[in-house]
Amino acid sequence: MMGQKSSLLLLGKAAFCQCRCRMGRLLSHALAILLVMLLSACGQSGVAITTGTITEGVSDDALHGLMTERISLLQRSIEVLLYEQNRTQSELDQTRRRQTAEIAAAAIELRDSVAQVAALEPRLRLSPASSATFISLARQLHNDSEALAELANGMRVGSLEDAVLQLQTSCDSCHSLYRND
Amino acid sequence: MQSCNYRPAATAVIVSIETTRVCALNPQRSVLKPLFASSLLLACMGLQTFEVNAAAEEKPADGLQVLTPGKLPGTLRFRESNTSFGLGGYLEAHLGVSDSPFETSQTGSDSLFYPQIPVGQQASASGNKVNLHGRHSRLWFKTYTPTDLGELNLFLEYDLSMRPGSYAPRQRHAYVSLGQVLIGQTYTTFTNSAAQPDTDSGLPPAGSAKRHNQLRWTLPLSDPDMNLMIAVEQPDSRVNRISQSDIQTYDDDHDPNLAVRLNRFGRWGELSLSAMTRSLRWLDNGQQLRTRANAYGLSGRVITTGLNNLRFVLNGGFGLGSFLTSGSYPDALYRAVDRTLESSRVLSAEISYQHYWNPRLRSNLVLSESRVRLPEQADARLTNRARALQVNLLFNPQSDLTLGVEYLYASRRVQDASDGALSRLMFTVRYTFQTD
Repeated sequence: MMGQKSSLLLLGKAAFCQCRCRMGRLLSHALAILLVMLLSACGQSGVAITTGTITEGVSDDALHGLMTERISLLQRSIEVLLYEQNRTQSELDQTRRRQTAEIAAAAIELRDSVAQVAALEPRLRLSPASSATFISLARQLHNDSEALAELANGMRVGSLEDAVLQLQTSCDSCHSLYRND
Repeated sequence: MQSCNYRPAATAVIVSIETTRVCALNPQRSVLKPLFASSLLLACMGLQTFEVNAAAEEKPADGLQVLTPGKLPGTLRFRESNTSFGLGGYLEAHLGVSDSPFETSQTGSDSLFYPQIPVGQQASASGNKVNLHGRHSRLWFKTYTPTDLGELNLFLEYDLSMRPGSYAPRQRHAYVSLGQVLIGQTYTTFTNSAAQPDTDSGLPPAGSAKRHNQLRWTLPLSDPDMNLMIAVEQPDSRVNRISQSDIQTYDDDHDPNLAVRLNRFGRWGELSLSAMTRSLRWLDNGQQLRTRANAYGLSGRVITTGLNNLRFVLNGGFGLGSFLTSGSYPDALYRAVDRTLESSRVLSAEISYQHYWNPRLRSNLVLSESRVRLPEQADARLTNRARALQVNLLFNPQSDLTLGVEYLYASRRVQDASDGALSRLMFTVRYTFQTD
């Protein structure tokens, strides 16, 4: 035990001596900054998804929530390409092409998942008015995702932000009525 | 009519704007802004001038062609044409405070230039040097045309960094690509530019931004997320004659550099594995000496959470010296005693983490080091190790404006074991523009 303690002390002393040099101090500062960044990243939602609580019997896990988050992240990734200084425009265009293709694929998948959501409607035992709203919102989500896929396929990058916002609004409208999000 | 008109001329480009209707292409972002900014930059270069004719509405648009949005983001095209074109770049102002008394004529005064980091007794001559410049501003032009043989792309990019203290334009990229084939000047195929860090104070010592004339073939593989690049590139052997301090470029190379790079893309980011082989040459009393040098690299960008990402570069091998640290290292060493040419072995590593505090505010932390092994007889003034630490905070109050503050600490060690360091604090304002 004593031996372990003394080796730890020696290690600490050696580390302290090393930190006395200028580069050592800078490295320790850099590590501290990195630690702050990483800890901050742990607190961010990033791509982590919170599915919320289902209230009126919609037991299907919100797969489209995952896809909406992914689409939103991809759209932001395309936006920040504007700040790249070390890549040529051709390289950036290729990256945009890959990312818009991914957005289009996710939007198509989302559109196709709307049918599954709409199929749940009979099991929800909703009032006629509520049922009509539910179907209308599902149709809206279908149209929004289809419009987004079309924009992404055409690489209309400048219009993606509005389309993604519209999609999120449709999602939020439905969730606020039928889930505890 | 809601459109905008454009007509190039020999000495001037007249942009006719139908008042606010010019924005019909995209109501949020007018084409006027990038054209105005680029005209400022071009005027600065002394290449062309732009004239804005805001009263054009009163004149008929006879003979002028109508522009529509292009087929790629940030491009326009003439309605009758299949070719989309884009114009963009950025205007950048740097304010740097260094702890070394660089002269304005020195490259190191406004860039991270390792050979000029003071060492030994020079390093003790302290004194703050303030430098304000806009030489890193850039202007690019690109075209895109779909053809039966594949996409035809042209890309030209210039900055103002030809010489220290001067605003003469310098060509950064100039290439044409058709389908899978690219010809012209751009980054060496050995380098994966996506792995380079987002810094304003210069490239760290492990990264290479060397641009070469080359012929490159990008071969798609059966996996759509992978491709293989094969290139023959312009050779230039940079050789140090042992016991002398200068590194000379041998410009009578016969064999091109051969570089290959395997790229893998995915939701997680991208990864590249590269290799290069070079034939290094030197002429001594009419006798030509040559040696073969091979180098390897692994680099990538891995997404951690959200937009945050980790970038890394690992390079190792022979004949890689001139690709790193602003050419501080030789590719090979010539020993006159026994008339031998020996390639130098280089090892370099770099890691950088980019963190988004929020969508408008980001930071980068970069650690990097490179080393070259030199023989004991090598000149005492030759650099054999370089290190850098960079940390920054970049803020985008709006998408086209970046305000940045960055701290750089860079050091180098020379062959006689003396070393020196440079500390620099930089403030940056960058306005990015492009046709939209």
